[in-house]
Formats: sequence, structure tokens, C-alpha cells
Amino acid sequence: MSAEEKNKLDELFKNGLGTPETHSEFNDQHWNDLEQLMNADGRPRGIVYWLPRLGAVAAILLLFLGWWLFKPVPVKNEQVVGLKPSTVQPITVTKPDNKPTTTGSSTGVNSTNGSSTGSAPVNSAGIMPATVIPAAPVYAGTSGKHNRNIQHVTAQQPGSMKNNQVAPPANKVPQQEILATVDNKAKAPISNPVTITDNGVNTATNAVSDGQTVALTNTISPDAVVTKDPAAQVKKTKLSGASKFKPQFGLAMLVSPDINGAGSFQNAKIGTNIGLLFSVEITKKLTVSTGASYSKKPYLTDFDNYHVNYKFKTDPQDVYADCRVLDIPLNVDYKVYSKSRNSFSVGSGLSSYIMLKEKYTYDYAVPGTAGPSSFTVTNKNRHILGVLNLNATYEHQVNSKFSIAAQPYLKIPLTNIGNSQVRLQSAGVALGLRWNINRSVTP
Amino acid sequence: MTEEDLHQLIRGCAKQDRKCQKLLYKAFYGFAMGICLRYAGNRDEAAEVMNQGFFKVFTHIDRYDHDRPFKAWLGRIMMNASIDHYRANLKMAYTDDLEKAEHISDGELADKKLNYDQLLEMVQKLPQAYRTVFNLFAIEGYGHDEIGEMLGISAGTSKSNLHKARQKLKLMILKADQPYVGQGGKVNYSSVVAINRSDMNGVFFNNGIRL
Repeated sequence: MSAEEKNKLDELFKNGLGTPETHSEFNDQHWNDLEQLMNADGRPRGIVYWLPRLGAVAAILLLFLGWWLFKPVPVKNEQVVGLKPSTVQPITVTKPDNKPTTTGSSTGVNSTNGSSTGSAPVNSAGIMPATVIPAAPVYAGTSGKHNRNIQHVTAQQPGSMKNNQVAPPANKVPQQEILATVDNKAKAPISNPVTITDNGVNTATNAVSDGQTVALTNTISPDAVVTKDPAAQVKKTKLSGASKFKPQFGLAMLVSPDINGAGSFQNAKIGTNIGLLFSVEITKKLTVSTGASYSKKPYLTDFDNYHVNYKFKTDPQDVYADCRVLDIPLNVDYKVYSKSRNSFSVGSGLSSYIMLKEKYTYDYAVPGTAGPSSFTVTNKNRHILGVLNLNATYEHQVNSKFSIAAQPYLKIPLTNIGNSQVRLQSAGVALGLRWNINRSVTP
Repeated sequence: MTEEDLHQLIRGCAKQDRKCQKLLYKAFYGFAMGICLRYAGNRDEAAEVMNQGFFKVFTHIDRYDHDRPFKAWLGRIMMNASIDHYRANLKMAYTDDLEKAEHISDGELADKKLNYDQLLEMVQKLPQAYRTVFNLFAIEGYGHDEIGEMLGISAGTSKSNLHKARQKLKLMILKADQPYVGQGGKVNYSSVVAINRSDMNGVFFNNGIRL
């Protein structure tokens, strides 16, 4: 067959079959078949669009929940209720000198004696007014938990309280011992007369037999003075008084859904993580943690963000990647807020990504375009400390040993990740259970 | 349908509006079917492939670049759907020897008055491997390298299949004049693809060996 004939043959068919529009009548049955095909597929297309948004809403809800649980219990405020600035003034006047930290502490036992016997202030006050008066600034100044310190002293001297006398042993408590219960922070409020609003002060001023201050004590309910659970306070005082900090070890299991994207979260895909974290509380505020987390990190990216040496005959339009990653973080968390059973920390650190498996699937602009459809890499890439972690953790202590935590986090790549060298970033909320290994006392 | 109407339909399809999808399907049914018929062995098969193509159109319509002609995009999808179908069905290979077709006296091909249905019937009678290469080369205008890549075969195989397709078509055209073939009737032979040359003597057709 000559070349000319070949062309003729090709031409004959091209002309005859090239413009086929008018040769096939529409067949409704074919449309019905297609409809069935589309209905059978029925993928929830919107889910990918909505999940990142739902995730954001969930994170906001968690933060709100955290804030709500954080709301401080207004215990201390009750103690101040009913005290007016005018009631404070007489107390400061009764100070023997302007150095409340020294004078106050020297007679601190008397003052605490008075405060702990709040239910019978007049008795205690009537015994040794001279010694009680200067005690006021000390107790008043050591507001908050430091009150407990002083009460602790009185609790150790129950005999003196019962007899409504200032027992000699109590008076002989060395100045240093009392000072030891008042840490540096406690000293500051002592010098501030405005802070002298504690109940103990009023019981003390009662002892001065000053008309004004006596009237004042009437405004104070005994309940506000007496500690509800002295035993617990003694325990706490022992802890704080000892001021010996032991590192706390914790083991946490975290599970988290997250969104992953290359360069942005525009085409974010949902991934999952599960991991174990070991943490050491090196100070009251700082915690160092490390561990390992197995992550499924899927993402979709434009082909422009995809970098490989392979030359595609027809460039795919976008690439869908499914990466299995071992994430080894090293984080430091700083406790910003801690009250009662709740705490809130912010943290940062670096993660190493061990890329266990990377599968890239190529989507072409025209479906069915000839070219590689997928590519898989196994155990090839490692990014040591290549990802920056930023997180915030809300933790709620369930009991002495266990706490639950919610941790919104963001992982920002410092280097290109994976075989395709993309800026793979992740954001999510980790939920976890922490076992506080060597903690034996409730906070 | 104006260009604006078309783009409105496409936008509706992007929102998965079933009415718009049906209108678009109707509007391009003939065009799409025409392409798929050339690649398929019969009308039912063509309709099946066409629907696969439209399914891809509707699920990936967000990828359509509005600056380019829609018809060309849709046409390529139909062609690719046909190739996918070809790949999926490429489970059997056929042998045939068409060497002797070379000795058939050449007819005046250009003078043949063959209508669309006749030509389509001939193409459809080609074995799938030949038909696909012939469509891609003679009608779509691809080169053998490209065809080889599309179909996962070598350029040499593509050339060989094209050659054999032409031989068969030539035979069919020549026979189309003969009374026993009949107008629109079935050509009395079963086609097979020649991959390995087998030493067959005598009759040219009906001697396929299925491996």
C-alpha cells in the first residue's frame, strides 16, 4: 500500500467519521444509565469543604470551654467582702513601726492565734492586746495562700487556742520560722496597707480595743475567718513551706484529627495522629516533653508545589499525597495559668519527621491523560528537627494520677517535607489522657 | 446554543445541578457518541464508554479552563475514556497474518462513496487494538510515539497495528462493492490482531488464533 493510498484511506475515514454530531439521536435510556451511575457514586463532596471549617469551630469551642472551666472560684473575694478602706486605716495606725515584715513576724504567732480563733476573737484579743496589735500587718499582708502558712503555725499550737491564752511556746516560735512561711511574694503586700484587708487583721484590731476596729470586727462573719478544712491547709502549707520541688513525670496518649496542606490550608485534607508523649515537669512552670506519634498526613496540592526530577510528558494538574509519618517532637511548655484542677500552657518545639511511606497520586487536567498515575516512596526521607511546633494546652486534672488535655496545635515546616519537597503544614486539636506518674497529692 | 448559554450550563454543572447536567449531556450527546462509536465495537459499548466519559466530565468540571473550547476538552475526555476502556479490555491478544493483504489489488479508495454508517461499521469491525491506533493516528492526528505512550505499547507496535488496520479497512472497502457483502450487511469475517506472525496459508480471514 503506497503512502498516497494510506493518506487517502485515512482521509476517507477522517472526513466520514470526523464530524459525527448529527449521526446519533439522543437516547434517554443512556441518560438514565448515567444518572444511575452518578447516584451510585454519591460521594459526600461537601465533606472535604466543611471539615476544616468544622475543625476550626471545634477548636474555638474547646477554647471557650477551657476559658469557662478556668473561671476562678471566688473564694478569696468572700474574705474581703464587707471590708472598707476606712476599716483598714486603723490597722496601719496601730503598727508599732513602719517595718511590718520584721515587727509583724516577730509577733506573728499572736496574730495567727487571733485569726484562727476567729470564732471567739474577743477572748483571744483580750489576753494580750499588746502583742496582738503588731501582728496585724503580718497576717494581713500575707494574703492568699500565705494566710494558710500562718494558720498552719497556729494549727500546730492548738493548746494555746483552746485556753484562750497566748501560750509561751507559741510566743517563742522563732522569728525565722515564721518568716520561712512567708515567701518573697508575700512580703510585697505586707508593706501595702491597702492589702491589709484580711480577716485576721480585724480580729487583731479587735484586740486593740479601739472603738473603730471593734465595730469593724462585727462586720466580719466568723465563717470567713475560720478555715473550712484546716487539715488540708496544713498539708499544703507543709508542701509550700518545704519549697522542695520534685520533677513530675507524665505519660500522655494523644489522639488528634488535623488538617494538612501544602503551603496553605486551601485544599486541606484531614489526617489523623496517635502518639505517646513523655513529659518532665522540670519546674513548676516548665515542662519538657518528647515522644512519638504515628501520623497519616494526606494533602492535595497544585502541581506547581510539587518538585521532583521526573519529567512529566503532560504535567498533572494537582497531586494528592498520602504520607505516613513518624513524628518525634521535642517541646517545651510554659504553664501560663494554673488554678484548682485546670491549667493552661503554651508551648513550642521542634519535630522530626520520619517519612515512612509517601504515596503520590496524580490528577491530570483532562481525565485519562496518559502518564504515571501514582508514585510511592518508602522509608526514604527524614527531616530531623525540621518542623516547628506551636501549641496551647488546656489540662484538667481528673484525679491525682490522671488528667485530660486538649491541645490545639500548629506544625510549620522549616524545611521542605517529603519526596516532593512541599511545605507541608498541619493544624489540629489533640485530645489526650495524661498519667502523672509520680504525683501523689491533689493540687 | 450560544457561548454564554454553554458557560451558564457549565457553571450549573459545577454546582452539580442535575438539570444543567442533562442539558449539557443532551447538547453534546451526538458529538460524544460519535467519538466513542469510533473506538467501540458497537453502539452499546460506545454508550457505556460515553457515559463513563460524561461521568468524568461532571465530576471534574471544575477543572475545565473556560478560556479553552469546551468541545475540545470534552472530546479529549471521550477519547481518554475510550482508551481507558481499551486498556481495561486488553486481556486477550490475537494473531493474524495480514501480509498477504499486501497482494490485494489496490482499488480506487478515494472514489468510494461510503456513508457514515458504512465507515463506522468498518471501523467497528476492526479489532480493538487496531481500531484504537487507527482512530488516534488517522482521525485524531497523534504520532506513534504519543499513541505508544497513551496505550502503553511501543511506537513500533503502534505502527504495526495501524498498518494492519489499514489493510483490513482496505479489504472491507473493496469488498463493500461486492454483492455478497451487502449494503449495511455484516462482512463475513472475524478480525483478529496480528501480534505474532503465524504461518497461515490459504484464507486470509477466519484463521485467528487466540493465545
